[in-house]
Amino acid sequence: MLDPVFLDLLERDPAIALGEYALDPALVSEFSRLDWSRVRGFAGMAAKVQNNGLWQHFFYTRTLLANFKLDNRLFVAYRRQHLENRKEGLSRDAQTDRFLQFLRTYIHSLSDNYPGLSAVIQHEHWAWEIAKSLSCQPSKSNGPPARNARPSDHTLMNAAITINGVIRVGEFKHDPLQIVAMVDHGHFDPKALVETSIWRCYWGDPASGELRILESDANSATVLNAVNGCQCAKDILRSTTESNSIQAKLFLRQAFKIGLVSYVTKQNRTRGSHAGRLR
Amino acid sequence: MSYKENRGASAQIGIAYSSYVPSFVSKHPDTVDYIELPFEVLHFQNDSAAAILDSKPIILHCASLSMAGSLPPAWEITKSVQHWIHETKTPWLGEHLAYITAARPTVGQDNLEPLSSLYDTGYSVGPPMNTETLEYVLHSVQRCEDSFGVPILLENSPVYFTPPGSTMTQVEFVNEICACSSARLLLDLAHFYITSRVLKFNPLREVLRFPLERVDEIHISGVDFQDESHWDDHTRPAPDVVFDLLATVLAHCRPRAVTLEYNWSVRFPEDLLLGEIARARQVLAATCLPST
Repeated sequence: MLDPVFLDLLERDPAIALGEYALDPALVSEFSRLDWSRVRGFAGMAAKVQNNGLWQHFFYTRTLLANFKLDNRLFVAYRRQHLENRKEGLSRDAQTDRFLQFLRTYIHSLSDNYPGLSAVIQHEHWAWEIAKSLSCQPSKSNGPPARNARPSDHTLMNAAITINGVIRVGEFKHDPLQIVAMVDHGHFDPKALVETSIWRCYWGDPASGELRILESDANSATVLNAVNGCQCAKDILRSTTESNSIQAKLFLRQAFKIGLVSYVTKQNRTRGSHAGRLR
Repeated sequence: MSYKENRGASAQIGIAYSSYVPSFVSKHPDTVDYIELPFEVLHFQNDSAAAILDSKPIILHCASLSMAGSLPPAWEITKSVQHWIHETKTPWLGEHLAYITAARPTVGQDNLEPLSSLYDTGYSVGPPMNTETLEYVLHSVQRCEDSFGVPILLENSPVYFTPPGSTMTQVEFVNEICACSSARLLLDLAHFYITSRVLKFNPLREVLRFPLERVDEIHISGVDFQDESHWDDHTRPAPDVVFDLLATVLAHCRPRAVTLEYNWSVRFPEDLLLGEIARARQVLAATCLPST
């Protein structure tokens, strides 16, 4: 009754589905009178409870799904994948990856608008990815990556630069931090959310071993996305418009100052080439 | 630390284990009397939960024994439950009146399924309530009594739909079990309320038909409403009707423990939890039968 494939068959044709069990016809008839939405709902709820462990890093996503009364339906749809995961014996991280992939597709497929939901999923997804990355970094006793002194204009423009640690940069339609604050205060109100364009940079700072969430904009996101450990600032700024170029230069200076980027050195060349996968 | 009762005093109050519970207990050490700990947490991830064993008395709860199933639990599970009963010094073992495994059908002589092949739902499912299931339950109760050395408390599952093959209501089924065995009961009031919404009966009246004299523990948790149905939900506080049910039940019986089950999330607002515990204590103080 909890297997979605069998449930489909049972709903369509109880006589065939139950054929191998040699049941009394009266009992088969009882199956045909079942309220299938409740049976499916129960199967979904079972999947939901069995996935309680997934939410450790996605508390706010779960809160919003429950607030929008979407969680049961979501897990009714997810049950088939969930059973496959169980069969494969996936690790928790692999299960989380699969679930997030499913969740994004599911939310995208909904016709109704659920303000803030996509923003919170993105926020927690990036925070989770960065926490995982930080936990794999060498311990602080090995020393954080070298931070640069304030660069001269010439150095800034001509040395190849790299990201220190891991970042994710992107645009949100709603401010995830506002939603987090609302949930923490126990009153998430989707009507109070204003749709707007907010850019944020999520940075796993290897020096502190912590996630830092920085305000950003489309221009600085373009700059950060171009920082790949090979290009120098001059090349990066060439890809921006003239009016944005001054701001981009200021942004790069600021990024140097807080340690978000540094020059490529022998020490960080290897790290820089794979640590800062960008979006 | 072992569970101790104050004889003659009202029921003790505990909370079900979740990852937020150790820090809650260390911050508010006198707020609850015990922690209810799932056997499965100890069995599968005992490192993370072991610390709680020293901080508060433990009541062990289980969802692995398939009490209403046609097959006994695996030998390793029985051995592990025995081990954790001993380690936790639990006064009893709570288990669902449900099944999680069932035998695959044997079809004629051509059945090639290996004997060990079984359905494993991975989740407690309410059984058809009839005389055949009654026999399974009675065997399971006897097996547990023989194996574990502590009483087994059967917990009513929520009835989301009447399982085909049922010839009794849940209350009738539980009464039959009690008439034929010495089983004790764990009355989950949220489950009972959900069942009342599905089957459309008055929970405050019907709960008095439950064999309340057998109830040793009560569960309290939240209830959600989605897609035109009520669902068990341990992430939210209990609705008022669950506390009304608690008051009704306490006017007719004296359970030994009341457990708040807010354990499906890694967080539960601290103020809210303190409020719920205080509310349960108030109901207990106001309605508990005098000691005899």
